[in-house]
Amino acid sequence: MPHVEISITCYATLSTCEAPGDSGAVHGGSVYPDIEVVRGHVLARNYSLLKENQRKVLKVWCLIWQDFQVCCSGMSLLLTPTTLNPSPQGLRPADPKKVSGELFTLTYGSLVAQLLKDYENVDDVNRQLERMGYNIGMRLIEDFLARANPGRCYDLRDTADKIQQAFKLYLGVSPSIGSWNPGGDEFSVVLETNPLAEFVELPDHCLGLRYSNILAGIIRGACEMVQMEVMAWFIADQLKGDNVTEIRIKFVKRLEDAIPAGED
Amino acid sequence: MAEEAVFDLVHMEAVSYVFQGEKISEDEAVAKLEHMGFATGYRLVERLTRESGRFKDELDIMKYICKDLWVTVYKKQIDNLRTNHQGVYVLHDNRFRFLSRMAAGKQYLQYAPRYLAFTCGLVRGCLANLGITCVVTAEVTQLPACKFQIQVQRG
Repeated sequence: MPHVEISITCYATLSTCEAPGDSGAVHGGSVYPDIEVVRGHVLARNYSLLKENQRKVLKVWCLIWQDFQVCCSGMSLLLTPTTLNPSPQGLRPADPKKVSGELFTLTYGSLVAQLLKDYENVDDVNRQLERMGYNIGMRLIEDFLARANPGRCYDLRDTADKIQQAFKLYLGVSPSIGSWNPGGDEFSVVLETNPLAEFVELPDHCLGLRYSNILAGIIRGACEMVQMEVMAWFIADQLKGDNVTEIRIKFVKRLEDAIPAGED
Repeated sequence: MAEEAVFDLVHMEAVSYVFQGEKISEDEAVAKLEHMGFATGYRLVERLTRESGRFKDELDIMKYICKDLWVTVYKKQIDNLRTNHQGVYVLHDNRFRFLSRMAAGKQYLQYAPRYLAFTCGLVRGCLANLGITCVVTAEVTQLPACKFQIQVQRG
């Protein structure tokens, strides 16, 4: 039948609420022993009776009727059977670990939204995000060293591995490391999925925004606290239509402990 | 759980960001934080309650805030919930996470409200999405304990 695909879905929803809605007597009796089932039916029935939903319900009926017109050469009465499915209900609790990751994603989202409201220029927002990331990185490295006990890095490849490890620890994603330049002082961190941008779509007037710029700042800040000056910047972003999110990291120099001027 | 460290740090940055300019007033900065919290809470609770059962009544929702929400966000439950049964709820947290890193004592007490504004918004946002319009205020008398007062707006 022409509309069978949509009518099955709609009917599966409607059938749970059509028949039982009318008769309170049935509810009072022993047909439905489970009060939750009854409650679900009544609720769905009320939904279909709402003025604005009535049109949709009628439309489904019309489609069913049209289908029968086509394949049974007409009919005068449509009887829809009642099914006594239990009403849809789910009591599985959401995975708390997943949700607490979302807490960070959502908090970050509202922070970026606030920055966009405060600054007129998206470049200023990018800069501010990088600066915040830098401040976070300076403190986060301490937590990372304490928590992961990563040991000493002997070359930049070691450092790249530690950055990979940190992404796993704090964001729950495993980026790949690659695209080393011949000199071995520049590499890419490639994220297949970016948890920060999970619920994000960039509107047209924000195309210059580097939404996840805080990550670049965090890497710069964290490396600086372990005596490495690096540059970090985004070269690809899924929010802008790229296949992956890619952060480029370039080693600049080793920082030496310097005694403040005027002190020996 | 490592991601809570990141959440703490982002919150700290948000607080220091809104207070960095000399031009804006304390009230304005607090309002910004509150708004960020509201936006976060409004969306978060939708994700959290996606598969949970229906709430019985207002008190049931408040219990949900004190237990599930607080555990998700602050890794502990609210220590004490009181109500006058007329729309006022007071939530006591004896060791509020955003305050637990601050030195206890009187010295920094004046700065404590800055670290509560986001949470006030968060709670208000959650309740708004669950159908309760309210005003949330916070109070600190002795670090790191604090209490949040929820005043439900009726009618």
